[in-house]
Amino acid sequence: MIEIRSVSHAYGDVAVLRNVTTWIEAGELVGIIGPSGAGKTTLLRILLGEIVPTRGTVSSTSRSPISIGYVPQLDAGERSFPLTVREMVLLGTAAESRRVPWFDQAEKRRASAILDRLGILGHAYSRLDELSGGQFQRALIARALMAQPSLLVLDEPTSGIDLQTRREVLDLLSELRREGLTIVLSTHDLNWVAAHLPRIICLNRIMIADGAPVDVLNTNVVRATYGAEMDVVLYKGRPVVVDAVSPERVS
Amino acid sequence: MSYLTEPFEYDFFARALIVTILIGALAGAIGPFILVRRMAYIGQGMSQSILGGVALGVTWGLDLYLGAFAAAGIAAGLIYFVRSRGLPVDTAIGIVASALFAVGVAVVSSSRDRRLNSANLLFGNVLGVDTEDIVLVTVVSVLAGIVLFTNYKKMLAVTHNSAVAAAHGVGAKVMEIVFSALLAMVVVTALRVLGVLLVAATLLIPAATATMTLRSFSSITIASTLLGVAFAVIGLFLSFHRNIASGPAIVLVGTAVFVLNMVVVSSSKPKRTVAT
Repeated sequence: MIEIRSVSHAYGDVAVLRNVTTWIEAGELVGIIGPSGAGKTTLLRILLGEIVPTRGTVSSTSRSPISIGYVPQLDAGERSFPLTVREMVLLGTAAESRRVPWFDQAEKRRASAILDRLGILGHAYSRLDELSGGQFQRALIARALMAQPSLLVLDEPTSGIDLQTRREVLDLLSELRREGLTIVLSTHDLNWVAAHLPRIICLNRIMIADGAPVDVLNTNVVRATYGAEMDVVLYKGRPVVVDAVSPERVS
Repeated sequence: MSYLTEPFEYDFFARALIVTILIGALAGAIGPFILVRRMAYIGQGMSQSILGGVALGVTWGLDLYLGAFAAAGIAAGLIYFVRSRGLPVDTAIGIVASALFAVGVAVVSSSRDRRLNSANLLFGNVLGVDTEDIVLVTVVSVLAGIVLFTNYKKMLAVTHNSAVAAAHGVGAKVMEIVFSALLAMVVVTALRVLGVLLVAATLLIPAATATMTLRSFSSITIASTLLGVAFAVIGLFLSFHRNIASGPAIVLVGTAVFVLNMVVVSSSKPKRTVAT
């Protein structure tokens, strides 16, 4: 279990997180939701160990050190880099690999197996800029899996990809979770999260709510998180957030 | 045939060839990293900056390379300092490099020391390569080659995305320092053959030529290394036979191949047609 206890963080004088306390159980799939500037990425960066919080602690109860796989937001600069998909995926193991400029056969076989599982083995020798948004997202996940993580962290994995790929990415994450991988992702896509994730953390600099979407997503929580008036309705047993439309606006 | 054998009748040519091959290989190998990091301006800035260190070092009776390494370190530190004050990196490099270059020009122009020949320092001179140069360039090149060889994958991971590399266990900050040190090594060792004004071109042209035609970063790095050696060697022969400075000769050979490659690549690409 990862424990986030009383974590606060500020960039200079600007506080982005205030007294956030939560935990992540091993094998959980957790979504951090909130608007832009809510502190989602900061919380992820704290989890990654990239930044040290101004106050509070992040600790693990696990005996062995946590290995992390990180999937960043889609970035045009990263995509224009002259790398093949297989090269990029293999870089996921750069820290552990032998100190020679090439990868060994076992590493190459593992990369091929991951690419095959994610359905992009046929693109192994494509350049990154030749991939569609969805294929590139899968390649980023493949690189993270190559690091053999026990915790997978994804920053906005569903932005910039089409609906079909979004569904496929979510199915893949659910499958990885069933295999025992702990997954934390950030998203601002309320309905995608609300409809599919088992647990969400609603964040807007402070912790607003934490729990299963059907339990925590209501008009008050959405208002506190996003500062906007939206209705929450149940559709096939799942909460769906819709714009609160007044009769005057319709007429 | 005498075109190839005649230069070896002179002792200095063999010495210059060894140094040129090592520098060409090193600059070619590190070039793709400079290219994708969009650090061309930093390479240019660092090479200009070392003129000040060389000039002051020689004037104070120190070794030429000692002054150059010190200047590279000071330039990197000053650029970091100016950046930390909130100025953009290109502004920081522009100010620091110009200031240190100006120091160099001021000292060189007022000095009567024969080692401070402005043309040689700016554009390189193979005639000036002595045994001390060969030893230093060989030691530094082998050291830099080993560092690059053993850290290639980590450097590539950090270059592509340093946050991801760090999350996956790569010491990203250490790799950044290693990379800056490698760049300083190339710039300083290339001083004698290429001169301070043309080092950046030697870092970029082989890499840019390889990037136009090859797909994977590993093949680009290998090709860039080989092209770096080829340009340097051909340029050196050209320099000898045409009696022109070695730096411009090497850069002109590289530029000619780059332009030729660009024309071939452009003409072989299928023309886009608008669907109607």
